[in-house]
Amino acid sequence: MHVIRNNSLTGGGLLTVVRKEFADHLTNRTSLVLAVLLLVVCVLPFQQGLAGYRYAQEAYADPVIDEWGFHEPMLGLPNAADVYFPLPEAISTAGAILAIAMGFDLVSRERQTGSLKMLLVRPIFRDEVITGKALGGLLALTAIIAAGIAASVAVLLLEGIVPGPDDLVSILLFSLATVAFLAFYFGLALAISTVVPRTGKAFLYALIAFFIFSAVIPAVGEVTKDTFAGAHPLPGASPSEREEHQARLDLIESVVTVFSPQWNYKLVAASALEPRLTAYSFLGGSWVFLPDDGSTRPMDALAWFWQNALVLFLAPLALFVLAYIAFQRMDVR
Amino acid sequence: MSGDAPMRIDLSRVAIIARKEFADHLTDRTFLLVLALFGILTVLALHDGLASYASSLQWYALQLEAMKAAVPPSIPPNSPYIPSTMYILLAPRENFLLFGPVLAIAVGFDLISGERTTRSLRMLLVRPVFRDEVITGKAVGGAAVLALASAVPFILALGAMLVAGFTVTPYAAVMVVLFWGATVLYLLAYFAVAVAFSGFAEDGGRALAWAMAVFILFSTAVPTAAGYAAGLAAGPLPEPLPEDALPEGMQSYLEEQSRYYGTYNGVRNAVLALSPNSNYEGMYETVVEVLVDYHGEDAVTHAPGELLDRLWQNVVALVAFPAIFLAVAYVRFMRIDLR
Repeated sequence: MHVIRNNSLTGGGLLTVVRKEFADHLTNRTSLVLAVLLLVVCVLPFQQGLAGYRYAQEAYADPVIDEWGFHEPMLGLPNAADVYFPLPEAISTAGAILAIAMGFDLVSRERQTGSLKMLLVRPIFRDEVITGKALGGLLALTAIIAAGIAASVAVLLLEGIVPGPDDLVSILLFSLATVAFLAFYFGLALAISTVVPRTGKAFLYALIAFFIFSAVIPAVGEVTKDTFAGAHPLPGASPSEREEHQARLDLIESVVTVFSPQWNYKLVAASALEPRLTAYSFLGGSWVFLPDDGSTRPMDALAWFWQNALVLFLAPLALFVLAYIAFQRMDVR
Repeated sequence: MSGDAPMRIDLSRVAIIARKEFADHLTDRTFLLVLALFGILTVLALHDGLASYASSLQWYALQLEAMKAAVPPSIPPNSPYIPSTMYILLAPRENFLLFGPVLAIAVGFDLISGERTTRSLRMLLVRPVFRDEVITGKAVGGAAVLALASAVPFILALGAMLVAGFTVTPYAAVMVVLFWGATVLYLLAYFAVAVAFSGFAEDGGRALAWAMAVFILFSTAVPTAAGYAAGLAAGPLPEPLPEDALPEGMQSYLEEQSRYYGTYNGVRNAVLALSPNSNYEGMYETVVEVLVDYHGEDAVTHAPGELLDRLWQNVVALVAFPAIFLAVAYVRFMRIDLR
């Protein structure tokens, strides 16, 4: 009886590991420095967002009429969530490196210094250790993002921009997408860390994966677009030919976007902040928005791009499963 | 007297270590993987470059035809220009700018920390070799491997030019060599950062994390700070004049405006000089401006003086940056406590 009770995952050991990992992350100099850098990197895009908000506000209050008597294209009343629009670009690089730096040594360092053996002779199960490490890191990432979002909302209020309920939902969805994106690279680093015993090599492999995701996949997509979709139909082409070409382009676009975590994140974040977004093209560099009639709600974003959101949230989980299996089977000698 | 002789650096011992490091890097799987990825990226970039060259050539021909057909013959405001093949040759630049540091850091981060973690450093230092020879040899070996690796994309670009049927003029070759030199300096900057942290950090992983933090700092944070500092130093932009302003007012306004931009650009460039990324980009822009857009094929005779005049600041900054970090690594390695 005693053995059976012990085998159930009571959570005591798990909680201890989570608490210790969380505290470690938030007191670690390297991750703190990288978190501060992430914040610094975000300051400029945030300011651009603020400037864009002010501009749209002025244009709304006082529509400019040009010399031909036309109004400037109506921008509509800006939303507080629009201020965050330029942020994903900055987060997608510096954030990924922060997440990698938090995950690369979780297992590899314990193996390198031999503390893993000491940990595993204690009355704690292996799965509690790896789950605790993953949850601790995830919590730390969430805490960093939450702190950043709280600071940014404070700045918004100081600037006299009061976010409405819809804006708050948008900002919340954006922060969730950001945590999911960071969790992807954290999970990647954790998985690599369980497989590669040396810390330096583990970090390097994670960087190489980052390099492949952020440079090689988009470049390959660019070339496939040219070769697979064929030449652009000539001006005299029939509408069906044109549609077929466009369909092939869209297919390539969506496949490449799903396989590139950066683009996937940028897409989901952008649609959370601007629910009027209905189509996009990273390869062609174009975005399509619905007219601004005030009928779209932040949750609509999930309806348009649910596949991308699904991939964004499930990919970290898949990586965690990999890390979990590798850790369970690891030979610790 | 016999005590004096070993005090000199023995270049043959440095060469032995450098050669060993060079061979180690070149046979390291991870390094080869990064290099292969670079090769793939370069080929893809060249594919793009050739395609866009072909399309701009087509556009040029169309414009010429339109000019001939127009009655009366007219010259459009932007007179058509022959696209330059130089952009194909310099296609590897963007990949280097963003991902070159990864290559450089990958070569440097384990230089000292790797030998410390595996404890081979002690075994190395009980041999008849001085500490400074070890660190010098390691730095030379790493730098040589980077020089070799960074040549690969440019050689690929030259090959692509020949395969596509373009002539590579001696002038183009000189330019590629120049730009390859700039790339080596840029990679050395981050190599030096990685070596310095490799001496301080307790293991390779930490060294790599710190080196990446420095990379983010200099590639994004410093340019942002440069903009802010310049804005602060220059103060507010002078108020635009009303339309009925007097000529004297106009004169003083223009002077004030040029003073504003002078301060702004001066401060901005001074801060940007700290960043290897900005220097590398600045060198690329200058080279393109002077050699491609401005002088064209006359550049061989006209440009060297002008190039030197405009590039020396970037070159000095790009030499000083790695020199400082290598010096730090050197001092640290001399004093490192190996127990």
